Amino acid sequence: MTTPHNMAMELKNVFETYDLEIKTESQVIRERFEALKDVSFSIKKGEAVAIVGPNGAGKSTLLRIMAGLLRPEKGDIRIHGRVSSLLDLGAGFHPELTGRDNLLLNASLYNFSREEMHGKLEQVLLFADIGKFIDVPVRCYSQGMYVRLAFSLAIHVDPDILLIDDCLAVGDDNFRLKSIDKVLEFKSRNKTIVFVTHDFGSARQVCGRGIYLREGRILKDGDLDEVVGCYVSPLQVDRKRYKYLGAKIVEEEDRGRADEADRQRKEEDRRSLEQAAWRDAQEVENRSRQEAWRRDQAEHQRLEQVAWREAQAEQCRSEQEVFLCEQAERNRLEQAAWREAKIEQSRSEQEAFLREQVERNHLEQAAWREAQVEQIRLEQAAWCDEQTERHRLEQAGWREAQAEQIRLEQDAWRRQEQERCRLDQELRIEHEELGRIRQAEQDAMCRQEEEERRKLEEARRSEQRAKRKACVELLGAHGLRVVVAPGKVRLFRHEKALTDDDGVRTLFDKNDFMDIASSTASWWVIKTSETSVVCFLRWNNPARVSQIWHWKVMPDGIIDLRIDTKSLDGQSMENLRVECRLRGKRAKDAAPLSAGKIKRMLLDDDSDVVFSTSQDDQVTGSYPHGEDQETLYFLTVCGEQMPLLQGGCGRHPFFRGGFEVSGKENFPAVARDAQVAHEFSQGKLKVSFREGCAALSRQEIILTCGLGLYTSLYARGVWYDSTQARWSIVSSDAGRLVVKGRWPWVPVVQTWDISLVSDQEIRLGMRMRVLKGFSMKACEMALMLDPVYRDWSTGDDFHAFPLDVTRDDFLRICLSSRAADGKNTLILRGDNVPLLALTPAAMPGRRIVLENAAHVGGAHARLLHCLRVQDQQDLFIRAGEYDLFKGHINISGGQA
Amino acid sequence: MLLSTYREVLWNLVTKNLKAKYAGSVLGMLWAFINPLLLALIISFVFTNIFKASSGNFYLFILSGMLPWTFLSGSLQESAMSIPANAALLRQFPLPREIIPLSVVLANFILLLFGFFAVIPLFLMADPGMIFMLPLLIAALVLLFVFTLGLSLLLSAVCVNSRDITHILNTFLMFWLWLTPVFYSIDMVPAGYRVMVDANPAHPFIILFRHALLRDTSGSSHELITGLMLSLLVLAAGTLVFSRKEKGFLKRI
Repeated sequence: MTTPHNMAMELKNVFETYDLEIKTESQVIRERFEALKDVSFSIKKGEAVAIVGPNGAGKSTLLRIMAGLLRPEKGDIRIHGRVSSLLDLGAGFHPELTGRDNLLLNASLYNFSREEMHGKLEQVLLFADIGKFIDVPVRCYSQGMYVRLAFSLAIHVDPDILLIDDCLAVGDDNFRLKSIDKVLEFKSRNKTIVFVTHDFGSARQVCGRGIYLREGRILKDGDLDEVVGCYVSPLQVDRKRYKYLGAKIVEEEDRGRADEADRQRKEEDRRSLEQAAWRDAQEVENRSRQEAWRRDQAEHQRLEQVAWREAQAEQCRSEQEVFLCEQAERNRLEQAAWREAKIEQSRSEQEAFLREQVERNHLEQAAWREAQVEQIRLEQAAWCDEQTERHRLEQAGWREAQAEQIRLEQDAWRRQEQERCRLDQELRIEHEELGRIRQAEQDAMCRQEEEERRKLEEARRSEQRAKRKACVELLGAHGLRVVVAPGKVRLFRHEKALTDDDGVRTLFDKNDFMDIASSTASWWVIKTSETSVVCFLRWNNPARVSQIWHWKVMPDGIIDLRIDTKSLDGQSMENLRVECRLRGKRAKDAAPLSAGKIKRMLLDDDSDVVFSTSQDDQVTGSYPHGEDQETLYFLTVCGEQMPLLQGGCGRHPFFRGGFEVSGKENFPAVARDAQVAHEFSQGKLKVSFREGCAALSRQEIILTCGLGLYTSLYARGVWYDSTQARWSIVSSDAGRLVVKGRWPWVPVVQTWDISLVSDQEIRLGMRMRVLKGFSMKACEMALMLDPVYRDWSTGDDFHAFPLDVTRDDFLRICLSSRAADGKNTLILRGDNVPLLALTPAAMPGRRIVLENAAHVGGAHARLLHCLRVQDQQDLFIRAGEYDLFKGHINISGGQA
Repeated sequence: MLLSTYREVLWNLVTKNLKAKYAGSVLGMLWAFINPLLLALIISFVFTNIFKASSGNFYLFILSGMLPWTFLSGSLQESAMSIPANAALLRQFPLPREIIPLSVVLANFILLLFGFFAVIPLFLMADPGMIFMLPLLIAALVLLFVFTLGLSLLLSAVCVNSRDITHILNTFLMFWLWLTPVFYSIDMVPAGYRVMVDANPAHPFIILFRHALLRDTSGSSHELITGLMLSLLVLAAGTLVFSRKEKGFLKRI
């Protein structure tokens, strides 16, 4: 048994098993896998052993057991000395750390202290030869660099036993040579090497002994060549099958054979030398023995000689042996030296050859590349030129063709376009024409509809307002009173009612509807003053008819009534009449009929009331009606029997007449306030002021009619004229008058300042003081002019028929300017009357209106307004002073 | 024995672990200081502004529990897969396997120490008397370390064979966290559930830290004994299991 200190490693009956989990699709099978079965061998110190075998033979397991990483399942293992293993290269390297950090941090794993490592770092880096990558995180390394660094670290450990798994295959040839070199250096230091590899070339370079492992068993343990032969031969069977492998093996064998031949030759040389020596020695010995024996036999006498000869022979023999031994030793040494030299030489040659090869390759490649580049460049240049030329030509041709074509197309297109444009234009013009006509139609329709709508709206609003305000207006003369309330008009004499509840009314028939009475109409009291009330009535169903009733107390005590009728839709009314129902016995004594114009009502107190009409044969009759106690009589004034109006929208005077009380002397007239009147003039121009209105005249021609110069307020649905106010004269000079008027029903005081600047110009200043805040819709200064003023001219700013203030059945507005701005002047002309021009000063919110005023006093007058209108809703006026009007009226003497 | 032979290896493994953790970051190890301070800031913000905690120092209360807990859970999470993760290392070198979980726990422990260095000024500002409790703090740290090491050994050994554990570990740790009085005080637990908290092995350590950092003596006074016994017990169990399983590691990984 070999002594332990000669041995590096001993394995005895080593078994190793793994538990495998074989996972099939359906189940997991647990199986014991025997990686090593009864493995025993020992390795001497300084020995280099290659372990070969196919994959899965248990080589790595064996290495791990030898490295002390695995403890064998069974068996014994003894290791003498420090083991370093190159199994998993780069184990313990962290990919995020740099190469240098990894080296330093892993050094301890290889039993380096930190200081040692610092010392060796240079060597390791030199060997690894990865340059600046040493300070780059390891994850950025190529596989080759990684392995080189790891190998360098591992190889620089100085173990007694080095275990190498097949890791030298990685890395380039240069590094491989370097690695083998390092391993050989290791070996030369009498260290033990165990080398697991498939690369027999490397193995042969390093190892003398081989262990052939297959399926966990050692098949062959002995000289590497034999082991390799044994390993390879079973594969030769499959050579046909594994062509490539076969070829490789043949190559391998060839190389092996050459090596072997070499070795055999050397061996033979050595052997022959040894044999020769040995043969010589044998012969000499034999001969000497024979001689000795012969001499023993033949001559016993000459013992000394024999002894001498024997001694001689002995000496010779020993000398010869020594010589032979020396010779053998020398031979062996020489041979070893020669072999090493050979290896060295072959390596250096190989290196040189490789280097040369590399160099040559480089040069050739460079030359070839340059040639290629040149050639390519030339070809490219040629091709480019050619292409460019061709392109140029093609492009030129193409461009010309294109240009031609485009030109033609453009011409054609332009012509076409022009034609089309012309047609389009014509069409558009037609369209526009049509559109304009249609627009006009539509506008007209719209306007009509709008008008209609607004009218309805206005009517509705007014009706509501009228209902809200039970408006009662009273007129009286000589004890006779007319009470006008919306829907009915009754007569009283003092406190006694002369009529029944229906009072004075109008009636008409329409188609089959009998007796459409004024009590079913909508009523508005349009205008009221001390002596007159104007009512506006309208029926919407079944006929659109309107009427204007104008009650007026005449100065002689007669109450005058005028009724105008108008059919708004141009349809006919039949049997239009006025009725007055008289009550009881008062009518008893009335003359039933009188000729034509007058009905007389007898009263209790022997006075009578006369109902008269100014038209002939219109009082058609009276007849009793009612119960015994109170018999009612009807006084009827018949209108035309036949359709009054067909087509046309004009207003038709239907009734003119009134009531008069007889026996005036018994009933003195109501004492009226002293009339305020003032007349002043300058030159031919004269102004007559009387009770809230002023008449203008020049050269005895009265230019105004009706109310003349007056003002009006429209509040709570009623117009209040200045004639209703109580007036007083504040001051009166020659050519200047200042008057002040107070309205009885609205909290307004007005001050007029009328001055005659020259005989052609009247200057007007009107101010309004509102005593208490109230709502009003409009206020105006108006100048009612004689109908002889027919023509007018205005500034640019006038528009015809502003619809927003038109109530066309009795207010017919001809012209309106949006602003009274001190620039617009209304000039009116007529036959034989002087030119009259109204120039209002700048009045914010005012407008100038010129209208026909046929509804006022029956005069077809021209009415000049300076009007302030609140279109949609009432304007609330706070208490305070306001300008009503400023401006002047020019009356020039020039006649048309 | 283990420590003396492999001291340098262990130290290098720890260094590698820490370096790898902060590799590529600009601030590097400074994060070990910054993170606990950030944590303190966030907790303080959340509990004063969002939860409207009554006491101004409530964030210190949370912090005193959070830091040890972070160490414990971080160590366990890392050590669970530590053996397979270091397979290459174990295949190459005949190291004592314990060194792997030990290095993990040690690395985390160093981070914990850094964290404490960072936040202890906050505790001192709140209560300068705390300085006299430093011995208790050191004892608590040592006990927690031993406890965590024992658990890590146990876990790493078990996880080699049954990888399922690694998947449930996070959920389990979350559950454990809520069972541990980190975000609440033991006083807040209704008496019926007190047993559950008392049975929680992490509980005495948290209490110890509270005691040392906040001088909060709520809970019982024998936590030191309990902690000591617990940690030694767990370490023994961990070592035992680990040494039993260790032989099969290399075949498994």
